[in-house]
Amino acid sequence: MDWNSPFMLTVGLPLLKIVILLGVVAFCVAYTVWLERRLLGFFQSRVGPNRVGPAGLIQPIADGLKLILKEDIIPTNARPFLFRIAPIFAVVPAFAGFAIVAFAPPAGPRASFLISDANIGILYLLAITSLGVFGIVLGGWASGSKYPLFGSLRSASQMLSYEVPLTFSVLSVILMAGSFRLDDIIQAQGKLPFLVPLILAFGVYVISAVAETNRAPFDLPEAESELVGGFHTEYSGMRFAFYFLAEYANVVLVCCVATSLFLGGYKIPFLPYETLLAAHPWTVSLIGLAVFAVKAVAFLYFYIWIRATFPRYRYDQLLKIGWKVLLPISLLNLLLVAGIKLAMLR
Amino acid sequence: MPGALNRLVRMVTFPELASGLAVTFKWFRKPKVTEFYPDARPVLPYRTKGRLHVEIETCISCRMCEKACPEDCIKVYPPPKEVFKTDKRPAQFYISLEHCIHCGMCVDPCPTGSIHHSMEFELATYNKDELLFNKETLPYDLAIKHFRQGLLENVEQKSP
Amino acid sequence: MTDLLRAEGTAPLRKVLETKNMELNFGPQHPATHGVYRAVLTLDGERVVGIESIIGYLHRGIEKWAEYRTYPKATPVFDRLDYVGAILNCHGYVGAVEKLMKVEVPKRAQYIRVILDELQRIANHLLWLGTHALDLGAMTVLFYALREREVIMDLFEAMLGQRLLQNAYPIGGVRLDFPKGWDRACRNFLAEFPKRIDEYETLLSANRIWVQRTRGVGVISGEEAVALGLSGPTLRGSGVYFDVRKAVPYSSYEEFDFEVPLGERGDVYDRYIVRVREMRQSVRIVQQALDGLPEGPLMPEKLSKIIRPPAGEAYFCVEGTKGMLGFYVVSDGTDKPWRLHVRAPSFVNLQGLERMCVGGLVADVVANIGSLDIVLGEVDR
Ligand code: SF4
Ligand code: SF4
Repeated sequence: MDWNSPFMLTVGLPLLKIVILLGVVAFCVAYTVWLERRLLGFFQSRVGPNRVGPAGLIQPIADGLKLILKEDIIPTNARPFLFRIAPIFAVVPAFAGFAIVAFAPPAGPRASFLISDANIGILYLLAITSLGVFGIVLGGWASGSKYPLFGSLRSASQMLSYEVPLTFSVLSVILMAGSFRLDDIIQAQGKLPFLVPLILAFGVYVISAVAETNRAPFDLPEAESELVGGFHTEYSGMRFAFYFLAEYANVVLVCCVATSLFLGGYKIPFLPYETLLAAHPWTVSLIGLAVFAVKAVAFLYFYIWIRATFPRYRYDQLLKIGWKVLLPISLLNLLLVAGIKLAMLR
Repeated sequence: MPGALNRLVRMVTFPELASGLAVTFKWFRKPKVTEFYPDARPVLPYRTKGRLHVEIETCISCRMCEKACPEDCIKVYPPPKEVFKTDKRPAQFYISLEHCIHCGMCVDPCPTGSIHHSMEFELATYNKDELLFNKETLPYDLAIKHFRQGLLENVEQKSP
Repeated sequence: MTDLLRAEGTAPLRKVLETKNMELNFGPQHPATHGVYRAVLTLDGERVVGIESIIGYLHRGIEKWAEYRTYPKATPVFDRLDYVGAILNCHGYVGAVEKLMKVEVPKRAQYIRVILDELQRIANHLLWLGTHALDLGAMTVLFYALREREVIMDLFEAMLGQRLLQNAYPIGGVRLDFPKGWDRACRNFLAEFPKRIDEYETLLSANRIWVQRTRGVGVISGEEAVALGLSGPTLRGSGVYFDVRKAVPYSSYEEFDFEVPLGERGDVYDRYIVRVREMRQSVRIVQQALDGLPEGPLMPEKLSKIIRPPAGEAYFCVEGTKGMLGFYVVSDGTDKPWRLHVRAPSFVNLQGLERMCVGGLVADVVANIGSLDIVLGEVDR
């Protein structure tokens, strides 16, 4: 096979990468669930799932199998077509977002660790992740039941109101780096992760990202004690698994994006990646990948830690925080960053 | 004014949320309290009201237990009159664990201490009929009797 | 303009777009109704405009059942009223029969009853705390609370042989004395437990999310609470000083030094904090009872084997885990109660739910139900 043929470069290689990435992400998502259950158990003074395989490591596979084999129920009141396709709407954007994440420094001109080096990467990411809400709204509405309807309405308003501060906080990162490309943003953090200068934006990002992914303490759309299961109350079997997958894929995506935007991606501060990269490309790439993974998992740990500790906000309070607290803070932060940038340009 | 400033500082620095996180983190590091039940057998105290055991040999068919049971799950058939004069052991003795609520009301009035609880607690069966015990199927274990003796004399429990 | 708003051949648009209230069936298999309680909510958006309680899914006819049993035989069934506070139910019933028979319970038995009662109160409040916190999304507190409750359950098992439905007291006193080592185990628990309460308070009382979720939610004033007949922590949360242990002391409660915690505003937070403080007071009572445990018999000497109270009636109430738990027994001189009625605090407290919920949001309904601490076994009986 000729790896240098135009066909391979434009179609074959990206396809191969996509297949690999899908597999890896699905694997990561499955083990995120496992990790979350284990860690939650530890926080709660118990051991979590430990029966299936050593330390419960085969648990995600068992869960997946169970969900696939389960009966797929479509309620009488549901709109069958929409009910069937809604989970796909949720899952596709969650996975599509991974296309622009740079997991490691490229080991060669054709061996980069990202699928698409789009120069508007961040914009694409923001656009595609906000599409995920369609799956939730459609699913909730198509279920033909009141609890899912409530869940999806809540979800829609929650995602809309948190999209704004999230975007503003990402904007300040873009301003700092001066580019929309994710790789440029990571390169700009060679000396200092943006976490330090943009601590405000980071805070806003974390809170709105938690809200965006519908996780505790902002897990209102699926608040099991109020709305039973929220938008996926009526779902079972494979379709429920899709929603589940989408939720955790979003979590993993947020971890990856936060790592890239604020924690310096695969960079270790003051390590001259460029010179090292020229000498041993693959070793450095893999080290970069490991650094990225460690940072992402640390962020995930924080996510779970928060879930284990805090109660849930109420719906109206949640929206209030989004519009009245986070939005002004993120705007203020954006102004600050812009001012500093201007001063530096002078 | 300092009060307001203090409030503001507290509002933006989340001290109480941080101490909450500290609590969960403390238990994250501590050993866990989960009991690994089927793998590790639990140590039950002497007084556990488990499955009822009846020592048919010492029973005198007085039917006190039958009368005391709120769920009517004991049935004692005394032997015929002629036999009873010499041999007081019951002709038949039924306990239906299907109904038993393990309340211990039948144990208190027994004059001979023939009926008492054991520490057996896994009573699930695949078949309802298996929960009806009669004279032949009623399990009895002398070790348990001694064990109950230990309970009556109020000895401190040691783990096995 | 009016023409534009008028869809062709139909009523004016304003009429067409008229909003309707939505009815939402809440329960009986809802995760936050703590059993098989069912409410039909009338909602305007997420705001509650009406709530109708529907009960009876767990009705077992316990009172009638007891009328067909002799007095001692009826004891274990009352454990099944409020199954998370079983000892107190047992105490209520047994106390009523003792009052009917004018039996004096020996001092040591009274003290042992106080110890077990208060441990049961802690166990109940722990379970309540955990589930209430879980309803509001703080799932970890549930596991911490159950971990501590487990210790109490083990204490019960060592003392009474059962963990949940202990059939604790016979009529007249208590069955057996403490087993060896029980005293030490109990004291260890009491020494450790206040620190754990501090942890719950760090996780909840101080937490701003918790405060925002519970402050000013489900407010019920003292007068209203009294008018509705609420009792227990639900009443004290509204600032009314009423505790059966203080008002009509039974089982030597007058000999213990403890406070009755009171709330100020009568909201969910106050009801929560009252229960948490009550746990601390219970620890104090148990400590005092363990220290001052008198020697003596466990059962009264002249108690006939067959219990046949004289004809008459008696009402005896204890401060149950949920409130004033009263037993009314009428005897016609036979060995079975002629009539028996239970004043179940959960049932009466449920009256307050409508006052608390109307005007609030759906999420507040969950908080309110949690703050009432109802157990459906007691509501439906
Ligand atoms: S333990 Fe209770 S229910 Fe069971 S047989 Fe004895 S008296 Fe009857
Ligand atoms: S009370 Fe004891 S002796 Fe009497 S019938 Fe029952 S088991 Fe036998």
